[in-house]
Amino acid sequence: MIPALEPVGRGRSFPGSAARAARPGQGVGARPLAARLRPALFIALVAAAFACGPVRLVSPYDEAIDRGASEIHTRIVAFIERMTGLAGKPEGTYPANVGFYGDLKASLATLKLRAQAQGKNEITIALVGELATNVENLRKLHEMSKDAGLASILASPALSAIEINCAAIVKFEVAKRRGTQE
Amino acid sequence: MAIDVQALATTMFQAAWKVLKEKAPEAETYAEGEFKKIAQTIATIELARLRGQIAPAQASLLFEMQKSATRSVLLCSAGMELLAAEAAVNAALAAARPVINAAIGFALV
Repeated sequence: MIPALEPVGRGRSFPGSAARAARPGQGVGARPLAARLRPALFIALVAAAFACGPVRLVSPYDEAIDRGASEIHTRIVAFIERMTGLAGKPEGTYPANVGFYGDLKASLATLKLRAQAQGKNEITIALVGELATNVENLRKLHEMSKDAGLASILASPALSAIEINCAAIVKFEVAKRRGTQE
Repeated sequence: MAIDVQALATTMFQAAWKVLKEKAPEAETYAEGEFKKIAQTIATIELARLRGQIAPAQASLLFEMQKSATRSVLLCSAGMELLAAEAAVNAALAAARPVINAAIGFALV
């Protein structure tokens, strides 16, 4: 006779499993193999669902993204502040400041790479992409202004948009940290 | 002990709903605040364009920048809702854990 199915987990048995096996005419040996395996399969599925720890729909908090976005924001704010002060002067023109955009582009590429290194991070990747798009728009704005440089009338709405881009990255990252702590 | 499916479903739903109710409004408040800023900036650009203070090409770029900012707000809101959903799923699973363990008779989950 095939022995009754006994759970192996944690050395304890199902209540009533022995009684069911001992019932006359309904012994486990009389039941098809699939029916006998069903409870074990159910328990295995439930255990698998719960034992894998908390469900993750979004990547965990990444301090490098949080700090990186905050640092980029600081650099842009300082640059725009300086450019509005230098508007109309040779030091404020695009050719005199083209290096800043190159450095910023490199920092954004690194930030994107970091975001891509984690799974389930599509939203952060897209947010970094939006920031990169607006930095490129700022560059174009500066370039087309020629000798006038970045006057306040242009710089102010541009900075407002970039600040929203940066804030969205930081806010989402901070929200991930709260989710992780709970 | 058999699992009371109705009671388990209610427990799981209540645990999940408590999380969703507490967290989802945060995304709404955030989006509302950011959209107000964007709307104000768009009005400023439009005024500057009408006064001839900025060229049409510059205005176009500035509008593009506001569109990107809007997309960022929407993406962040979607992310926050996803985080709330994640917390709700985990709360529901945590609520179901004692019910399942009690029914089975040992600490399975």
